[in-house]
Amino acid sequence: MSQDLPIWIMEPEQAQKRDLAARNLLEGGQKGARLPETTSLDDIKQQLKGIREDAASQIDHLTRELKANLNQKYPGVKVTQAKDEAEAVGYITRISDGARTISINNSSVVSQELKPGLLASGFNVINSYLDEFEVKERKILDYWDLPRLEDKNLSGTFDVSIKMAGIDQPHPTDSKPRKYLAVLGANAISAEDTTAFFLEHFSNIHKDLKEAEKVVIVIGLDKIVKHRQDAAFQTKCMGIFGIESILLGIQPEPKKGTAIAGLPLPPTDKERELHLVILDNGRSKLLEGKFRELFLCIGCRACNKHCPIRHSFTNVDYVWTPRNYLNQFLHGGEKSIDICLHCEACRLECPLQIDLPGLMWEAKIDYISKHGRSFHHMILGMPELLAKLGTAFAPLANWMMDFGLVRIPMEIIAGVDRKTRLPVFHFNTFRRWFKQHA
Amino acid sequence: MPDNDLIANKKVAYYAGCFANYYYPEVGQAMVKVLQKNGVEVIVPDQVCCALPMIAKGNTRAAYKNMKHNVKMFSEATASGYALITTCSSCGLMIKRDYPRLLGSEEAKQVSENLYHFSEYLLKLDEIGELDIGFQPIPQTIFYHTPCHLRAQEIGSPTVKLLGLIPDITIRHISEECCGMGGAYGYEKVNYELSKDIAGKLYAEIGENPTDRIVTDCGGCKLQIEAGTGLKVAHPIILVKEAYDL
Repeated sequence: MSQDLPIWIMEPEQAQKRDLAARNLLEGGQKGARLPETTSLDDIKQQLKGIREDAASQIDHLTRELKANLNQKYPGVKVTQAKDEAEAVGYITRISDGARTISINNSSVVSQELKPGLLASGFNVINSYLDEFEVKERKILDYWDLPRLEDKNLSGTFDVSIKMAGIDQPHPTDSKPRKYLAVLGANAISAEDTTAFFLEHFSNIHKDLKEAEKVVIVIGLDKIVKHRQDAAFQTKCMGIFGIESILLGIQPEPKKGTAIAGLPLPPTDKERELHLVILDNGRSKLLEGKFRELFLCIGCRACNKHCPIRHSFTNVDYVWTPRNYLNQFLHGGEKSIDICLHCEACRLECPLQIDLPGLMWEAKIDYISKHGRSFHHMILGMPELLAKLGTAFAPLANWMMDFGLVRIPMEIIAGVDRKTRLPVFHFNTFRRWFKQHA
Repeated sequence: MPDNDLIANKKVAYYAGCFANYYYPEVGQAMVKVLQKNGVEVIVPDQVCCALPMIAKGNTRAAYKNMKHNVKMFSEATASGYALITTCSSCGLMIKRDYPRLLGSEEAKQVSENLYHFSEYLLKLDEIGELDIGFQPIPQTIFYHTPCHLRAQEIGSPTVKLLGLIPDITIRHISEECCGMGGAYGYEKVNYELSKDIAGKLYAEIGENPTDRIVTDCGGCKLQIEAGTGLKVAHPIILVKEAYDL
C-alpha cells in the first residue's frame, strides 16, 4: 500500500545556489541571473496573515479534506486524529512495539505538548537536534547582537532542499534503520495535496526520517492549510522570522542524548511504518473564544528574541517563549503568569502582530475570577490608595520607608523586597499645586 | 484616526498619572508651564490611576471602574475640543491600546485616538508652526533610555526628536534595553533578583556611555536606574522647561 506521502524539507538557502546565481549573473548578464525577487517584509507579513486567517476560518473543512486525501492517495500511511495529548501519547505507546527510544524534533507540538506524556509513559526521549553540533560558548548573547532582517530578498533565504516520497522501504541505501521511533512535529501540511513540510536548520529531521523504524508525523490542527504553496510559504516564514531566536538559543548543552547509532537494528523483513497524528489538544477551542489569535501563530518564536525574561528560562522542560509560556499556563503546566513584565516586545516582534500581552492579561483575569488573588497582590493592586496614604503622611511615611523595622513586616505583608528603594511621597501633589495655580 | 483639529485648538487636557502626581510633581508642573509658554490652555480633569498596575496585580473590578471614570472625564474633554496628553509612557500605552480593547466603547476609542505622549504633542505643535523653538542652549550630553511602553506605542522616537530641537544638546546614547522594573514588578520579593538581572545590561550601557545626564520618560525606569547606578535621572519635560528658562 502506498506510503509515498510527499515530505518536503526546507533548509537555509544553500550556498551553491547563491554561487550559481552569481555565475549566471557574470556569464549571462543581468538577464541570465535567477536571483530571488525582492519582497518587502510587510508584504511577507501580509501574505502570511492572509494564509493564517484563511486556515482559521475553515479548519474543520481543511481537516476533513486532509484526512480524505490521505486515505485515498496514501492508504499505507496510518492516519489518526487525537483530541488531546493523552490520546496522542496513547497511540504512540500502542504502536511502539517494544521500542523505548523516541527521537523528537524541536517543534513545540512534540517538545512541549507530547514530551511530558512520553516521558511519563517510560520512553527515553531524545532531541537529536541538540546533538547535531557542539557549542563551546555562546556567540550571540543578546537581541542587539543579532543581524537585522533586511527588507529585501527574504523570501530567498529558505528553500525546499529535500523532497521525499514517504520513507524508504525496507532499507534506505545510505543508512540503516534503527529500533526507535521518530516523533516529528511538522511545520505545515497542505490539505489539498497532503505535502508535509519541515523546517530544518541542521540534518536531524532528515536523519530521523531515514533511520527510525517508525516515523510519526504530528500535525497540530493549526498547521493545516489549503494549498501546497501556502504550506511552503508558512514554513518559509518560520525560517525567516525564527532565525534570530535560533541564533539566540544556540548555547553549550552539557548533556548529550542517546546516540541513535548505538540502538539495535530492527528485523530486516519488517517494513518501516509511517504514521500521521492530527492533534487538536485545545486548538479548535481556541477558535471559539478570546484566545483565537493564538491559532494564527506559526510557532516561529520571534516573540522570544527581545523578551527580557527569556534568559531566566533556559532550564524549563520545553522551549521557552512568551507564547509557549502562555500555552503552558492555559493548559495548567504553569501555575502563574505573573513572570511576564508586559514590556510588549513580543507583540512588536510577532510577524502576525498577535497581541500576546493582551492575551496574557485575559488569561490572568480569567484565572483570578476563578482562584482569587494572593494577599500581596491585594495590597499592591491598590496603588493609588497606597500613594494617597503616603502623601497624606509624607514626611513620616518617607522616613518609615527607610526604616528596617518597617520594611521587614512590609516584605512579609505586601511582598515588597526590603532591599528595594521606594519612591519618595510628596505632600504637595501635582494636582494640589495645579488647583492652587490654575 | 485622531482628530488633528484638536492640536490646532491649542487646548489640552492633561492626564498626569500617579507618578507625576504623587511622586514627581515637578514633571506635572513643568508640563503645565511648557504648555502655557506655548499659549496652550491646560485643564487637569478629575482622574484616577490608569489601572495598569491594578490589572497587573489582578484588581480587575476596581481597574474597570477606574478605566470607565477616566474615559468619562477625558471623552468629555475631547468633546469640548481638548487634545489629551500624558507625560507617562505606561499610562499612555494603557489608555491608547488597552482601554479600547478592554472597554470596547466608542468613548474609550475616542480617548485613545486623541491621547498623545507629551513629546508627540509638542512635535505636532511644531509641525503647524505653533511651538516656540526659542530654546536656551543646554550644552550637555544625554543618555536617553527609551521606555518599553513608549516603544510599544509605535510612534517612533518623539522625545529624542523634541530634545534635538534644543540647541547644544547632544544625545550621545539611546538605549532600548528593558530596565526590568515593570511598575511594581521589580519591587516584589519574588521578582527582585530577576528584575535586577534584567536591568544589569542597561546599567552596563550607562557605565560604558557616561554623559552629563540620564533622561527617560518613565517613572518606573527612573527609579530603577537611580537605585541601580546611584545617578540622577530626569524626565525630558524637565529639560524642555529648563530650555525655556522657566
